[in-house]
Amino acid sequence: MGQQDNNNYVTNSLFSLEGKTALVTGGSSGLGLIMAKGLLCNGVRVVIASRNQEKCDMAFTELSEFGECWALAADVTDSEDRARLLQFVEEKLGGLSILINNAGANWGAKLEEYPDDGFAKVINTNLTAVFSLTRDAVPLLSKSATAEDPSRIINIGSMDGIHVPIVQRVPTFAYSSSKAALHHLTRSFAVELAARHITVNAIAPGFFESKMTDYVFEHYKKDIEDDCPLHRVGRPEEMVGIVTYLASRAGAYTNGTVIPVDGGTSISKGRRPWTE
Amino acid sequence: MNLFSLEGKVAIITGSTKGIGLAIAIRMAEHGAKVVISSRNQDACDEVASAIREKGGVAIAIACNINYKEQLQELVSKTEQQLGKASVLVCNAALNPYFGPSQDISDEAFDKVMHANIGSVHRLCQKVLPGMAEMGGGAVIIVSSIGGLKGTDALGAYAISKAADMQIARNLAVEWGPKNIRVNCIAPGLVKTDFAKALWENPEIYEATVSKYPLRRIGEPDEIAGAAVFLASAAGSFTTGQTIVIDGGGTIAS
Repeated sequence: MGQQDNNNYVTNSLFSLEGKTALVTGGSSGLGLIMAKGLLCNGVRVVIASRNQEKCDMAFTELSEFGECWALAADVTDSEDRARLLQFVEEKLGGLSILINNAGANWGAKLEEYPDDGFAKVINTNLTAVFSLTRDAVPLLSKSATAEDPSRIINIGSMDGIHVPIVQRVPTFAYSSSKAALHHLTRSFAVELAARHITVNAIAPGFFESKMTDYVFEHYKKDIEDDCPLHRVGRPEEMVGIVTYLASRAGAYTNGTVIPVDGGTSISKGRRPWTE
Repeated sequence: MNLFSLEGKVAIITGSTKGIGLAIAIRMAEHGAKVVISSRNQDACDEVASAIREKGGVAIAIACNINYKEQLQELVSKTEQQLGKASVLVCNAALNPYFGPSQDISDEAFDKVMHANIGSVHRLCQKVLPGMAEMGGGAVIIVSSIGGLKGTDALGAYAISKAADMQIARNLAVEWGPKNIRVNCIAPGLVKTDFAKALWENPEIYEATVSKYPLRRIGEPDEIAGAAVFLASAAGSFTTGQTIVIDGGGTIAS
């Protein structure tokens, strides 16, 4: 059936990703691993990257069950690694129709003890490296892009880049600032790259179960649920859902947006006074 | 299960005999929803519903003028009688009777816009959401507009009503979240519908219009319908209180 055939009530071409190619940074664990798996299940050929060779190997073994996948150990904050990664993507995938900038870092400390190099490290990973990798990936993205089916860049921001985190016993000054900046970088890139048939959007997740949230869940899960109108944390398929929407025909005209997937936490007024 | 499946869900879509509402109804039916086609004209509703049924979907037609509370109640009651309680509600019908400076709009025209565009969404949600909660939850999708995000010297009252949609979504998301009901807006930019025909039919006007949009084209109804299916389905089940702008980047670029 045709890509836009309205007459078929069985399949849903509107959300098809069949035949696309993707690079997921930070793809060996957490949300990155979930998104990579979701893409593979929908017929996308996927390269994942993460710093740690051992974690890459483990993720590769897990992901290969679901589709055609490659993993490369690479640090997106390192320019030589970025070049090596993009060359690898070109060899394996030919072009690139979906880039998911997911690799991220966090640093938590009290204000008086918050170090300059910790702040810089977070900004470098969450913002600067996304800029550099995206800039260098544009030729590959252009190669796969058409006016009808633009290539997609999806940046993983955070609801903490929209509001100041309420569960803040461990302050994350650099993290929330870097994510707010990433949201705006998303808009800048969206305007710049649209003429080359590349759309750029961000997802701003709330709390999902991942290694990054183990600590806060252990201590504050009830607070987190109370602050969320849906009274729960996110489920893996809800990250796959938003990525599939943005990367498919359904999301082809959506450009420069930041879409919170946070159960309404960032639009809800704080329920509890926060003191400590 | 398919993440985007709406299998078995009853979906009421107002203003669904043409344009964006029609595209949403067709795509929701395609994804398995039992759809209620509604607009002021019963014949137009019947025509769309039977076209969807011919293609294998489930659809009924209930005419409704959103300006009248009794008709909104009828829409909900008849839906329950014929298909069961709705777990998806798409508030798409809206009107815009005035084009010009806010200084010159009549009280009647201003009140009419607020009554129809804001009031009907509020009242329809009041009638549908308790039943939706009984069903274990659901999704409300309000079709707002990018007009509600920027200042305007020609569409003032309409833009106020579309900004209000976004606040209704935030309020009801907080109020009904604990009952597993999600409420979101879609804010389309210019879309290829009869409503906007004057802006895309003439090639010169079209080029002048889209030259301001990063993607250099206007949207297709399906590109709005996709977001509606996403928000109504399991794929969108952690998104609530939000406004998804779909304008090819037009708003952020201007």
